Amino acid sequence: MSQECFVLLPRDGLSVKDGRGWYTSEVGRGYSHPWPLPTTVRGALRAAWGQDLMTTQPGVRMTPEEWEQRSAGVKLTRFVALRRSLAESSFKQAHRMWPFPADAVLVGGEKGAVGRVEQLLPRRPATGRAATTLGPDEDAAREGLWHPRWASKGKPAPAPRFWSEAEMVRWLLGHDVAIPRELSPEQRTDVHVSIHPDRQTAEDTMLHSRQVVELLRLEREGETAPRAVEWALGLCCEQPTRDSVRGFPSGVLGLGGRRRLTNVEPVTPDLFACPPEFQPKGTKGLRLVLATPASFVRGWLPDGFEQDGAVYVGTLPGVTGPVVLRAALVPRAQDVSAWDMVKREPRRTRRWVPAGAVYFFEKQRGEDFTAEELRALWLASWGGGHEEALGQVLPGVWTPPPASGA
Amino acid sequence: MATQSQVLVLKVGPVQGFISQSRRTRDLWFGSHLLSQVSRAMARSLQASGAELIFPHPEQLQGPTSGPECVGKEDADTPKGFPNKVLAVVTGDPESIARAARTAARDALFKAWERVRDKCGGLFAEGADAWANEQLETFLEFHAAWVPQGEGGYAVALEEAEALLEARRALREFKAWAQLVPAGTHKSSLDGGRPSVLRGKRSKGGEWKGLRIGEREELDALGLLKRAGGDPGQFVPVPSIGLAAWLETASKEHNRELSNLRGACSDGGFTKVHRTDLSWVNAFPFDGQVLFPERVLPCFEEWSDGGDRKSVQRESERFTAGAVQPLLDVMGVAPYPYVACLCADGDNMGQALRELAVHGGIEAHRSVSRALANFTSEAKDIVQSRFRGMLVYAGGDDVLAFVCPPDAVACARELASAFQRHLKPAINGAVKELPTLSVGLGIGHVLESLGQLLSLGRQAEKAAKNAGRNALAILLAKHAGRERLWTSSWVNPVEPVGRLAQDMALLSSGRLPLSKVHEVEAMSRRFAADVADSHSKEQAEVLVDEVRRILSRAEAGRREDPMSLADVGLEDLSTSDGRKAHAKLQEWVSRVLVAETLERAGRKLEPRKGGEG
Amino acid sequence: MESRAYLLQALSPLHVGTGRSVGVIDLPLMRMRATGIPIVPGSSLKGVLRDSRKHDSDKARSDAIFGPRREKPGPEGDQPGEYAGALVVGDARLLALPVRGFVGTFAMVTSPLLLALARRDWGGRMGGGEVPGPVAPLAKYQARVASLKNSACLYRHDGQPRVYLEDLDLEVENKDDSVLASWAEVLGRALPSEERDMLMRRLVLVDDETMSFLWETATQVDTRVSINPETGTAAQGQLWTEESLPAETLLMGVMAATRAWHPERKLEAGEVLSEALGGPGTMLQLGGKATVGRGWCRLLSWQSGGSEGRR
Repeated sequence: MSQECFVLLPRDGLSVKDGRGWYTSEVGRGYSHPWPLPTTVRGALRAAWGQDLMTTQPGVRMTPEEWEQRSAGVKLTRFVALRRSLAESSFKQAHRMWPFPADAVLVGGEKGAVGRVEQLLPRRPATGRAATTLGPDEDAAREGLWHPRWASKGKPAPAPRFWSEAEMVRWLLGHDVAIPRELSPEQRTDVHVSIHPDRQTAEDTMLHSRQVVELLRLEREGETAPRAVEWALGLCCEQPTRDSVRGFPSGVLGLGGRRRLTNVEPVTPDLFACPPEFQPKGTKGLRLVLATPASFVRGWLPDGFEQDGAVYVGTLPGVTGPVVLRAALVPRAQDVSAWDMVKREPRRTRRWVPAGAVYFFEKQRGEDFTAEELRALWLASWGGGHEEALGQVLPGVWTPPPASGA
Repeated sequence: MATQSQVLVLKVGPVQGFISQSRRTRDLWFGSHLLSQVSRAMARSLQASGAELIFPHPEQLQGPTSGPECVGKEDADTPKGFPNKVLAVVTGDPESIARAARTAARDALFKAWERVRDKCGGLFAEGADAWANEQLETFLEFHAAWVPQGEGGYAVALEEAEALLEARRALREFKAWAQLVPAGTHKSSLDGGRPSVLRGKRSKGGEWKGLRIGEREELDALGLLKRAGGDPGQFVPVPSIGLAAWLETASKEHNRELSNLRGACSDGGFTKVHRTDLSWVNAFPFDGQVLFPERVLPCFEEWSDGGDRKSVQRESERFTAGAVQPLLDVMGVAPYPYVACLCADGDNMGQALRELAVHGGIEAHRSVSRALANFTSEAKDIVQSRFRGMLVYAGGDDVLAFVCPPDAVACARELASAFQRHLKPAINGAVKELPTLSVGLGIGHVLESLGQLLSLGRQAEKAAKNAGRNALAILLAKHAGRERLWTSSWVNPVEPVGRLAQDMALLSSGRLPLSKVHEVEAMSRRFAADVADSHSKEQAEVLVDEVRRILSRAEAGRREDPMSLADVGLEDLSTSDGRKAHAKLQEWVSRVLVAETLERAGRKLEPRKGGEG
Repeated sequence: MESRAYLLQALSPLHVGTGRSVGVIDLPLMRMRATGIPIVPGSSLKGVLRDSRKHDSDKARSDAIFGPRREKPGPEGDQPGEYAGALVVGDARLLALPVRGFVGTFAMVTSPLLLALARRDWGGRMGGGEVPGPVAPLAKYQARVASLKNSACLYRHDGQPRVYLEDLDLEVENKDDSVLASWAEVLGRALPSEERDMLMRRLVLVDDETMSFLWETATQVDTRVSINPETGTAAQGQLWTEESLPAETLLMGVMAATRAWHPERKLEAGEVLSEALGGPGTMLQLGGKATVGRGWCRLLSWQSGGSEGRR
């Protein structure tokens, strides 16, 4: 099986339309996801793979159904956001950008300015006390989860979408992190009019607009000259075992709405590896931050976790023995609606746990998670959707609060 | 069970995201109304369980009961919104009381749905009830938390309960979709995640037309509930709100031409708005879109019952020539297609309530709660009667409304005054800072999606908060893409209503031509915003000289009428350093351009002055 | 996909904007939001290219390249069954902006950022040769030229070469920039033969901050009036400003193509690209008829092959 690692650099931004379609207002408006979905990227790779196969193997012509079937073996195994200065010529681990974790909140500060990053730490409930919360339905184990609290008053500030490798590694190790700069890619709205071919005038009823996520930015720190930075997508991808194409993907790719042109730059697999700076010690508590969205059979609750008395117990990839789910910081579900290229119709909606969600665990028998277990969890796959690189996690340490009276 | 009293907080959602998923005006209004109904049902249930409501005030539960005959109609009668967070003190078992409230919330949603389901049965895809039910079952985000009142009393228990609720809400649980929707079912045009419940094959006209469901539009159960939940006649389309001042002037000065247009709309079978309570709506109770000749054809296409394109086109041309154009001709000033989305929110409320809980306990909170209830009643009157606008929501310290641009600033000012007037006696000097109201006005094109207009309003509200609170922010988003933001504190140095009025007078009299404003902007952009200290004074002097030169220069074909810095509201420019002078000029340009839009929107039209009712 | 870089040279003021006509006064240029770089969207260019082929009797061929046309306007015309055309046209991005100066009437101004983006678009090779390397960065308010001797834009003050760009007075480094010279040479190869040395004489490299100031302020802004068709006079209150890129502006973009799989036509990717780019210096009008005499552009590419970005 061949594995290709490369970076996608969309030249003209990206527009990955969400499920709403065009008919969202009096005049058409397409909304883009703020960051491309693995599904969209895999779809583009499958299309490119089909083209490459037909180009390299003269005489091969696939029907859409054959293409659907044969390209199913094109799988994403890594999916990481990257950001580098335009002046740099290669990608390094330091360029990785990770989803802002749900256990970090920006608090404090006057007049909307952010004071500091505070960590949300789950608090052990007083022993013997019944749950004092209620959710949308009955689930005693869920209400029994530990709730994280923040010390600061007032509303937390909106979080950026991403933060950097350096910040994430510090965070996973349990260190403080300074206020992140707002680095997320910007969006613009393009308004298009259809020009009537005979009259050469704009057709008013054909006006529509579309959101575009731009991947090129000018960043300015203090009074220095602006610096151009580019955002990109780091990927690894498997080809079908039988039909491997040499040099895939060849040339540029078309990605997302209007098949925006995307350059391809090869990289080595170390770009995705666990960084040498991540050297945790053994820890009583484990945090898993979702680096990519996760797809669990039941929704927010990780696969394999079952109610055991008042708690959820299950196992984790590469971790010895059962673990107890102590807390879950999960934002609203991400609804994903993809398009079936062969049948030319929408696929069923899937609900994912968004990237950045954080789950907290202890071992059921109270042992430590070892440093090896933690390092082995680096971008391990959790839940379903492995062919789309879903459910890849980042391991972090956590010190559970002592039991009351202890 | 516990006899100790407990502080119970409940929150139901989703709110902002759900409300902004709107295509038609009625989606927005009914979506907001539906959430109020759900929350109200929750509060009623608490009251029935013997709980003592603190926020919102129990008075807000009065009014028509939530029988099916009232849903929809009720909106017109009691549009007071009901906040999505409810706070009560309970003595029984808090868990079962909360559970009963949750059931009540769910029942309110399903009751509203049943009416729509009965009414719209013909629109449904086969088997869609199954996934419609799943969508409704999984829709509400309900969370509750409670804490016993111990030695620390109400204040401590409340703080703990609120913190617990927020902590609990860090987990937004959801289930995977279980219902198998047939292959190829489209997603809702409003939501994007939930599948449509509508049939694929549609006839033109009939119910589809009545509910203004577009040819390719798809609606999930919640979307259909928004679209079909109310009585279509009660919703004033956003273009009509944007043009309210123009239309009212037309009805006073050119009633013959306007009634001619009204007649043509009636004959054309356009939906009529039935809001006899609002005089300004009655000037033209149809969608104001038809006043833009280029929108007439799309309107006719939407309304035609499958007639052929040619005849629809002929009909729309006849309508434009016979009914629209004559009115436009006599008015002499074209309708300006912008509308203001007003978002207001109380400042420092959290802090004030915390202090009050400590010093005055439940009693103090109750009086604030009543004051807020009175404020929301008055807010409705301010927006809809004293000015020409439509309230979407007013509950707690939040207001969301659409207003015609010529009235928007004065309306914002009056809301801010009313807020303080109601709160002051309730707070009675017990807190350090009297809460104030920050108001954002997002001004956008009337054909923009409602979600986009809402987002402008919210951005403006945020800008007002960032400008130090107790402020007004106006965010102008021209359809062509440029945005302008101007913020000003309500109190100093010059209050914003008068400031803008002066600017508008300068512009409308022609004393300050727009070209000079652009010239000042282009000039100032050629200087550094962050000039070094060593050049600061020098730059300030150059800027002042340049602005003086531009202002005093006579334009070709105009009589000489030199203006001073003070004439255009730049008197403090000459005492600023280089950076400040630069920032001031940028701010001045934004302010004058905002004033210019307001001036254009209200040119030759009569503004409403408001005044306390 | 195979790709090829193209140049778009404005021959008259070029306005491709984001605005429209419902009561809007300002018609700004379309720009990238984060950087402010003016662009001509690939969709506009593709539409014009398709229309320029509209008299082709060979509809199948045109559809295979550009994708099928909409049959009906409005939502009715949206058919999910559409197959995409073989051609993808990327946005054209500003590469060099003509700016008035005291000396030599105008300079073609570019910056390290714009050249870095152009390098990316070539994908390493073009015109049969290597792409020039990245130019060295510049300090704020500094400029360089390919050759002090050949530049048409310089004046000297106390022996120090300087360049005037609008009202900016920039110091020019007192040495030739050989990398810039190869840029001028290589870019010039796409231009018609009589204009080949234009860039050698006029290209001026400025720092990115100065460049971003120029692309914001050195565009052409015209005040336009709407004429009432009945009276033939200016309609009251119908005054607007329209921003355009001045004549001579150079923009750069990329086109890419797959093999065309239309049922009746099979075209290799290279053929699709050649078809789309047309002959040397294809003339196009962008921006619609509303701007008569405006929007004339020349579409240029490096004909000698080798600019394909295949890896």
